[in-house]
Amino acid sequence: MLALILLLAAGTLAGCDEPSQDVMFEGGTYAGKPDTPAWQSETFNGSRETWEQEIKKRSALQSEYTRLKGGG
Amino acid sequence: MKRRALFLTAWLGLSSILGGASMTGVAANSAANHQSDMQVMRQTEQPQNNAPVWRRYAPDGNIPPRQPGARAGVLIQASGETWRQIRNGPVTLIGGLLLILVPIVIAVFYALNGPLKLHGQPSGRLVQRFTYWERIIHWSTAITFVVLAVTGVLMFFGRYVLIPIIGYTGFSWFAALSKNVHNIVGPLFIFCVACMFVMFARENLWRRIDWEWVKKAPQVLTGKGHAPSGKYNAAEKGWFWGGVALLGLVVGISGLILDFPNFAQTRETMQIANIVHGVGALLFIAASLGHIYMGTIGTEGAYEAMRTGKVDETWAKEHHALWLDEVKS
Amino acid sequence: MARMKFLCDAERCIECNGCVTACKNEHEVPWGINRRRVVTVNDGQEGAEKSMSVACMHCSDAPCMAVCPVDCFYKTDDGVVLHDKDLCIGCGYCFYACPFGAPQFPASNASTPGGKSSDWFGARGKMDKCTFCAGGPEENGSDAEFEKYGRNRFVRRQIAGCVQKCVRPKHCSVVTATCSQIYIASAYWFAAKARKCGAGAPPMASLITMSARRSNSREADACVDSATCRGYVGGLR
Repeated sequence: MLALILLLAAGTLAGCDEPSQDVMFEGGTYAGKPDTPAWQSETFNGSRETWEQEIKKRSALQSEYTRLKGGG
Repeated sequence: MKRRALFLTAWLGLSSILGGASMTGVAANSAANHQSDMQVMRQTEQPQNNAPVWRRYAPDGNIPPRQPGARAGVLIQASGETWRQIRNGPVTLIGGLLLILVPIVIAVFYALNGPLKLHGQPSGRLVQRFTYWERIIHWSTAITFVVLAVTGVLMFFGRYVLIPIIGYTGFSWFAALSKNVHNIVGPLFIFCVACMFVMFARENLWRRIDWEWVKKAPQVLTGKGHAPSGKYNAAEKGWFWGGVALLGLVVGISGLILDFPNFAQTRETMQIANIVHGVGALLFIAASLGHIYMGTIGTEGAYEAMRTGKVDETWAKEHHALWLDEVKS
Repeated sequence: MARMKFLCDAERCIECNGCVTACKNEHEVPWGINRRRVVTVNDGQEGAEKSMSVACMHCSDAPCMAVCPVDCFYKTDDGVVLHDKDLCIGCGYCFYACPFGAPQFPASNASTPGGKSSDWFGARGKMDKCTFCAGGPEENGSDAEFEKYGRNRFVRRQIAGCVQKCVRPKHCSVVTATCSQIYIASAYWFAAKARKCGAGAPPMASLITMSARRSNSREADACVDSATCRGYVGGLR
């Protein structure tokens, strides 16, 4: 009985640590708290690469150098 | 090797930024001018090198705010990290340990010794020990204390203990309830403690005779002997002064600082108050477990004393002989 | 894997507060909340005046996440720190812990136009902070999401509002790094975490290596390296 209590106590205390903040992955896919990523929509059809390309392109459009050259 | 190279590069570049300490008042002004002079010099020597400017961005450096808000001019508030490490580290660990070990120690003590029983036969004659108002105050304090303890522990340890069991949504509901109950019952508890202090302080003044009890404490606690004491024995007085009065004051003041953030307290004040409140409350709870044990299953007849206000003469004679003499005379 | 970080180049920030306005407008955040702010040092001193735009820095080792009693924070695949307002109990611990003052709470209900005086003991509702324009756990682009977390620009193939509206973009105010790189968000981010490494250690360097070690990926290591070489760290060159 005492051993059981001590075991339980040890277990509970072991939990009192800062949990890891690393993004959780299981088998290569995101397994954290539920949230639909931006690419899971009709626009991107679940293609992460497409979305990343889009965002990258948008970021590039912010460049003043490209703007001055008349690039965008 | 790579990491070492990185380390050096970054160190050379950045140690200068973080070297500066935060300054305040007049010193800060002259220092600021000094820094801007430094910056102008630096710009001519090494264009684009901002190190002198960023020295002011060192943690907790005050920058004149352009936007409204008490602390809008603070770019980095460094004490938050310290607070986090103290709270999530020793306070959680030692506090958790305390809340687990104290009940175990009490359980083991109970298993070994059993309750303190009356040695003589109950006389059947009852003596008034606590007045009606004393009992009202005691139980109001006790109930508010238990409510605060339960809600507080729930909020502090629930993340580790309850979320794995009842899930995020379920626990969030409990936590929200706990937070609001804790906020409202808190001031009530402070009021009760104040009343209790006024009502019980005189009888709890330390007397020379109490040292007798302290010396014989092991025998008294294991039921092998008795020591004469007044209305309250040394342990009860310890609980009153150390627990109710001192911890009550500490937890009460820090609690009010946290409960009413309407007086422009800074984050730093709140962080300190939070740690003080947490440590004080955990000690308070641990100590209260001892008091609750002695007042209920630990001592025969103790619970009835506070419940009905009356004790048997034999009980009074064995536990509080001097008080019985006073009452009788 | 993309990693989202804000990087503000104080060399080019002109303190126009465009990012602040854009953010406020985009998300229609309540009274009393500015998810982004601009801090200026050495105001009016030629050659020394610098400004910097600050919001949630989406920390790798986020203090808000560590202290939240209901564990309402989460980190997306892109390294964006988000929170769930349904779980938030408004205790304010994230506000104590955050080095940048990012988590904010609505002004007292009573003081807002049309607000109810229903707040108890200075309770000020649920925490609000920068979402990197990535919304929240609600359905992407839904009204519920907009109401709680502001516009989800990611889903509309847009970058963060502050970045988009910056008048001196690229190498200027707020830049999003979305390529497979971590842009180390300027020096001050790490300054606050310096204590962890002990007094003797040069704070920044140990923190960078620590952060790389913490994220436990070779990629992070490489990114930190490249960011250092490019002189992004600390806005120094």
